[in-house]
Amino acid sequence: MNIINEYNEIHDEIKFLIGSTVRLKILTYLLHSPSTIKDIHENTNINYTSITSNLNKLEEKNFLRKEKDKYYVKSRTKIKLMNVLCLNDNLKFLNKYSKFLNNHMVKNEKLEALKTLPPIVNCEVISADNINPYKATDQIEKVMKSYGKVYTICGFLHPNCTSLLKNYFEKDSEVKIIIPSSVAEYILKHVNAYRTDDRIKCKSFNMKILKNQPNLTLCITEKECVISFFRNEGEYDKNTVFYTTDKSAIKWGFKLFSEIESLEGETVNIKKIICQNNNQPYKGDI
Amino acid sequence: MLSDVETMKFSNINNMDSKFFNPIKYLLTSSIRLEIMLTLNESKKNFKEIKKIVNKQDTNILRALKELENEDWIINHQKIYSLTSIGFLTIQNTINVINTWYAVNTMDNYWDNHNLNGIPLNILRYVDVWRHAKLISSTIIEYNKAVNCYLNNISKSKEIKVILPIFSKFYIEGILDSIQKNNGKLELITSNEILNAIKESDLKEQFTQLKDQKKLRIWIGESETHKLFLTFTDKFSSIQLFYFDQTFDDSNILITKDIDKNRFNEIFNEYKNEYKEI
Repeated sequence: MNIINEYNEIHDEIKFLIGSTVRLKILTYLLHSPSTIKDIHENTNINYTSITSNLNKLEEKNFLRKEKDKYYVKSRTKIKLMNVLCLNDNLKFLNKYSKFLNNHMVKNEKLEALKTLPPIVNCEVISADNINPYKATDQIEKVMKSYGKVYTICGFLHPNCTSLLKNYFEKDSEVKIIIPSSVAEYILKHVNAYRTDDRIKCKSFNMKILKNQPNLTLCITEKECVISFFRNEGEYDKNTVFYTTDKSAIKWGFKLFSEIESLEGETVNIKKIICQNNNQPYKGDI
Repeated sequence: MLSDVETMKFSNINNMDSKFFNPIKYLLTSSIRLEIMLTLNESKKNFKEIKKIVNKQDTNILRALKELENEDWIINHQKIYSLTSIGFLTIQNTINVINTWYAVNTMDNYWDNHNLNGIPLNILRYVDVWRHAKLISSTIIEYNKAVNCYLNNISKSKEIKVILPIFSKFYIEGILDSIQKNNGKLELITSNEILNAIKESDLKEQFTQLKDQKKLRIWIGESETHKLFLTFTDKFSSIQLFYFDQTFDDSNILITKDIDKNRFNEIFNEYKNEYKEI
């Protein structure tokens, strides 16, 4: 069944539920705890008559069930409501950043992650300015220099590539980078030129080389996520990034990363190369 | 639990003023706006082409197009309408909600009979992966129909991923036998309590052997047992849930051979990222 037919089949139900702010408020409240009419009234400030009439309608249409004096959201309603609340949140986010997003290339039919954006509470756009023209790139570099899990999708050769690599080798990091083949040879040159007497500390370091890299830069750790796009004109935007520490956004960032990581391409074990080049035993990824 | 972070975001009812739900109201309650967005999601079009698909009066279509332009969801470039970046993201996320809603309705009683508390948000957002699933229920004549259906399918599988919330010898033995027989691999997500139960059972030897042969990887969650039994293999996917009284329902299984690899991988990756591999 195509999507328009699906929508037509559920249209009346959608209209009934979403058309009424009172019903949405009552259900959202009940989602967190099954309650009596009195509880609902005290916590939502909706008057008793309206609550009673809407609860009856919601029960009649199978959105709720009543047990003793308490109303419970049915599981089918929970799924629908969570999806609708996420969508509402997504639409607000998109509206807030519409000017920025509409100037950038974000369309990609193949990426599943774009179809289920996370509910994001905290996010900021960091833009270069006259005082610090490198503010956006600095932000990416700051996240790239983190400890622990550092996953990066990068479409360009970072100007501080050598220092970033050195930083990874000397820390307890778990590094994954995804890059286009045009950049891979330069990174391998840096990797092969790296010499040290110190112990290689990184737990793992893998580089995936893609033929068709998506038009974005993403760097994600367990605490931060930074993402930037190509401008509609076709050039990478060095001047603006989205930055967030929001847990849902970070989770989404990892999902986007795994999806792109699963695309066809060659994987190079950088840790192994570095260990061999510096006469250190490679004991596998930790 | 995995879902709490997200669920909590919707908990502040006092922030929900009369305009709070305007974004979804605006899009989901107008079939003309939605139909235009859906058709432009397929390809850019001129007015004539849009009119052919959206069977409404010209003035209504033109008004809706103007409104969508004002929202910055579509642009009109030399009389050709197309989605903007946020228009694209808007409709992609809306399609997911419609698909999910529709899929829930095809199996509404199954969902209603089970407790979804503590189930990660992503699983609730991906309910449409079960749209072509079959509900297999045990009967008084075939008492173990659901379990047998699972065992039959698992015995043909090679690459197996399981979120295991219960210790059941039937299921675990079936999974381990299949790995051994098919020279397969198992990724197991479970709790310490269940892992210990396996290690203390007579499956201990087989379990340890598979682990030593590197055919078994295990992730353990800090939280108490998660309330779903999810299996994703190269042959099928299945889900079994708990009743509201916290007992596991082994009489009903939702099973599908129409596997959405990306989404299942993502669900498992989410657990793997938050749980610890041992």
